[in-house]
Amino acid sequence: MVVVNTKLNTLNRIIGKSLSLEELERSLFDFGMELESHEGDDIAVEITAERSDLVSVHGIGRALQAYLGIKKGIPVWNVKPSGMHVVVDKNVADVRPFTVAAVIKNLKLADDDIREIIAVQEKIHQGFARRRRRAAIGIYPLEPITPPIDYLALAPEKIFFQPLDAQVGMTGAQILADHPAGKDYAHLLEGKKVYPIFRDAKGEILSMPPIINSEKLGRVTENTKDIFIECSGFELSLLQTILNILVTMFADMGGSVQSVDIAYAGKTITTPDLAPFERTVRMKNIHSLLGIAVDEKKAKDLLSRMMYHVVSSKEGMLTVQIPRIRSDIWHEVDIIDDIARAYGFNNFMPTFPNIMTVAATLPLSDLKEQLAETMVGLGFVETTTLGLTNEGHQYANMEIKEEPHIAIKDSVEKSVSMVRSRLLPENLLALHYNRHRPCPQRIFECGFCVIPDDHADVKARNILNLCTLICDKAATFTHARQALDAALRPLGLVAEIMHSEHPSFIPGRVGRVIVGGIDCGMIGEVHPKVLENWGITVPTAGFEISIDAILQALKEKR
Amino acid sequence: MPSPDKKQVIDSLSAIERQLLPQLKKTTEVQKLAKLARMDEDSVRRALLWLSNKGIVALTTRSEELVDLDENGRLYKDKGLPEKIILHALVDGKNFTLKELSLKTGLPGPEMSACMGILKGRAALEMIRDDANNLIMRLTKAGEELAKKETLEEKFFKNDFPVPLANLKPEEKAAVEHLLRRKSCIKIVKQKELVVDILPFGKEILKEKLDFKNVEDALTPAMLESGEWRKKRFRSFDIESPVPPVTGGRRHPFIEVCNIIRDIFLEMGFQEMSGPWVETAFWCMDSMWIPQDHPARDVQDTFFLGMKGDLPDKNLVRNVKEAHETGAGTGSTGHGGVWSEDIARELLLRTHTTATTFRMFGIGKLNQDCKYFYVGNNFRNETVDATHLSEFWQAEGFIMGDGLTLSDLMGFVKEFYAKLGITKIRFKPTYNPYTEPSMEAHYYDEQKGRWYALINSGIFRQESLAPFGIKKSVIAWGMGASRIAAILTNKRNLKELVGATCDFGWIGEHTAPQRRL
Repeated sequence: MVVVNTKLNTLNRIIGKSLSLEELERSLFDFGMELESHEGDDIAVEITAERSDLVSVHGIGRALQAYLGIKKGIPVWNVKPSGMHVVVDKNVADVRPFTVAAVIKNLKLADDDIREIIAVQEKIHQGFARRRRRAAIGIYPLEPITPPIDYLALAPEKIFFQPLDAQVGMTGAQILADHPAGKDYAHLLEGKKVYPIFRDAKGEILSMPPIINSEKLGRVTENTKDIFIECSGFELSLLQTILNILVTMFADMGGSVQSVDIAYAGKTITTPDLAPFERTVRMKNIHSLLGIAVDEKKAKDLLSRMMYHVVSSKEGMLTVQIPRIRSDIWHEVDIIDDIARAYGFNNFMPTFPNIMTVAATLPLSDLKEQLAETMVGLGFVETTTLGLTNEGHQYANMEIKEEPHIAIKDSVEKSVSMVRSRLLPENLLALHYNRHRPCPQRIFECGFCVIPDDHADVKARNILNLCTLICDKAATFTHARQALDAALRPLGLVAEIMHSEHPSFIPGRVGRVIVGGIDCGMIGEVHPKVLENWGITVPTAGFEISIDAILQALKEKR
Repeated sequence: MPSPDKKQVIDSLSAIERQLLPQLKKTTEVQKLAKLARMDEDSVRRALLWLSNKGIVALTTRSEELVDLDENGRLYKDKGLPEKIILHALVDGKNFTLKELSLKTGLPGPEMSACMGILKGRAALEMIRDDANNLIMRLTKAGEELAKKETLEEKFFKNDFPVPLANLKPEEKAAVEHLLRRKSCIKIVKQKELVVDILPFGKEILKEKLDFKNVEDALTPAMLESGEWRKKRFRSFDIESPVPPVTGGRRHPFIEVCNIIRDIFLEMGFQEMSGPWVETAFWCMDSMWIPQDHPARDVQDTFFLGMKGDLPDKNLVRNVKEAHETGAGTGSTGHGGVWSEDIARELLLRTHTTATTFRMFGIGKLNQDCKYFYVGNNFRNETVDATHLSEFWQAEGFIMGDGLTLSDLMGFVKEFYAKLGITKIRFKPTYNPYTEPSMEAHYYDEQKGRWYALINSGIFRQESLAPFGIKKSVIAWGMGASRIAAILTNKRNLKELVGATCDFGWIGEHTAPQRRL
């Protein structure tokens, strides 16, 4: 989710209508945005990630202007040639192959505008450009630059300039090592033999993308009237979209947009290209996707309120112009979705499709429910412990050696490092948290655990277990055994117990649970060392069995 | 016959009340009642308390100051005041040295000196030297008189202690003042006294013929065996007052909520599905056309295992690759770029149960009218706080059929909400990478006076269905089960709602969640 901060007044000025807060809230909601918060004149608007053209207050204002019918249809932006060139050297191909650029003239930037430019640039960098991985934007005052500009790559030690916010000149390598922005984005150039730079005809460096601008040529202030913008990265169409979003914002701020020729080896392209692109929409697909009756006239009107223009219609097929700032039109359905937004989701008549099916549960879920209800009948309280835990809980506290398990990399939550492979430790943790409660405590949990499984496509397997614990001053193996027998009795199953050894339990009071010849789990009195590890001062006995195994035993019995 | 209210009260008297009540005709003093009723004082007090609850007596406590004997005082009362003992020893002109006197009276040194002081102060004693130049004591004339007279203090000691301070005569009060100055002689104690007043209703009851001979507190097996119960009456109970709580086994409130959701799906004809917690990126993301550079795939959001899993059959993988790169003939542009099998093989903890939906498409080879649902947990790499855990529960359902529309999706979502008891809802367009249109359904919380988003939904994109050869349309919706549980159980702090931190007391005594918000 992306949030755009602005003022109600500013937005209303752009829309060209004085909306009340309530009217704005409703319009944003119906459009698919949300008024996230408001305080006084300050408002925060939440937009969805795919609409990168809405990332500025001008973008939102432009969209609402059409949506509310104040200025319908496709917006038109005039682009004159600037006569400027960017020459792309072949050697950027391996490090950062593409760039696009534009010039904006006659800006009168207020403080608010500068703030917005920085905010928009940052939002595009973080979201649409995936933390500058896909693309990076550079904005420069035009005047000090001597064209033409070279886009080339040099060895890091051969690059030397004073980056923004630094006091001295630095080499490319030093910037990555020592400059704050360099450190943040160093990984994007890691391992590259050459780093890309923009350099003007006088040999002054403008910037080293995707890291940082130079202090000398790369600082925009409220005195800046004319600017040069470039966007570099790996995918030309994406760069063009980002450039278009920026230049249309500047145009809406009052600037005039001029194009720049980008000379690639063998081919020169001119950017920005703000000419609309076209797609077709079939009338019948509107009906079959949305379930509403919309004729051509209505469809054209709805489309114009979403900034589209229908250029022609023939045999139920509309040819639609789409503004170049949209990057989220992959398919006809994306345009039909906009028709639904313009129609208003809340103006639909919901229908209930008559699709006849028979409900069914999974046998494992049913067995789990049956066991849980039996345990409740026996006076046990159900717990719901978490699936994520750590080796300290699952192994060290249980006095057992680590076994193969599902370990997690890079968890931000310190207490989380693996998926549980047993319920017992987590339920001892629950007893620990509830140790202020009077005993006896009788608890159970039916829950999934995950264990490694080389045969599975995901190299792991869910298992469903039942764990039961009796925590009482007189709790013994007998009580655990009684609970186990009583849990299995309604299923017509009988458990046999086989003497066993397990460091989590008191020797001589622990056994394997065998049902119908299948080993289903463990039963025993929890070892005092284990209880001590958990800070539990009351004897505890219990069992943990596999519900999958019980289901297997039931099937074999039938 | 007593009036109904009197009869009801008389019938409800417990054993100790029955034992005590008749004695109230004779006295209202606790000690005397205890003697008369042959009960200990505690039982008398308890019976009186119960009788007061029934409006028979009124109990008030009177706080009273009493004069009681202290350690030395008890000795003096028994043996006399020490100065009197000295006076008596010296009476009729007898004289002794200090040592002789001490031996004769048996008084310890400090006490002797204290008494000497008192007697000298009253000019009752004089000290002279005898022929052998020993210091001897004898009484003065005033001393002889004093020996014969009973002092105020002596008179006061004849009382039965403790005595109420308020009842004392002025001269007794003077004695008390004197004695209080003496070490451990007397003390003033505060005592609460229970004052029993028989209320008019009680007086009425006492006028009744109180025959408790065949009244029993409890029916016993012996009475049943002997048939003796026929002669018995049983006291009636105060059934309207509360009793101590008992608790038994209970389901966990969170599971109860999950089961409510499960029941709703089953009522609507859905089949249950289930899938693994550990997934490949293929099933969790790629299969449903989530681009490979989507932010949700960042380590910051997803738990990766740092291992690779296996991809399903080659045809499906090829179809998915085409959908990503070129749109696979669906009329879509695709995402462009090159789709990587290697990224798709990454193992992770699933971030949504939609992974299982697509497993059903692929492994279940679904391509017919059907409805499926799943309530399961999902994981996200996040710092834990009151409203965020690194795992969350999701309820998810999809319907596969011919020509399903956005209106149909709205109809189903509306019905689903209605089954949760919610009727005030509104729809908001939104964005999901694998559905278009996508729709949130918000409900209005009457108590909170604001809208909440609970359901996210949409129509699956052709790019996500085409690789599976699915020609039918699929509408789907999901909702945060933890969120619904938080609302239905009024637990805003997730650590109180689920996990080992959840309080057993709450689980044992909670009000079971109902289908209403």
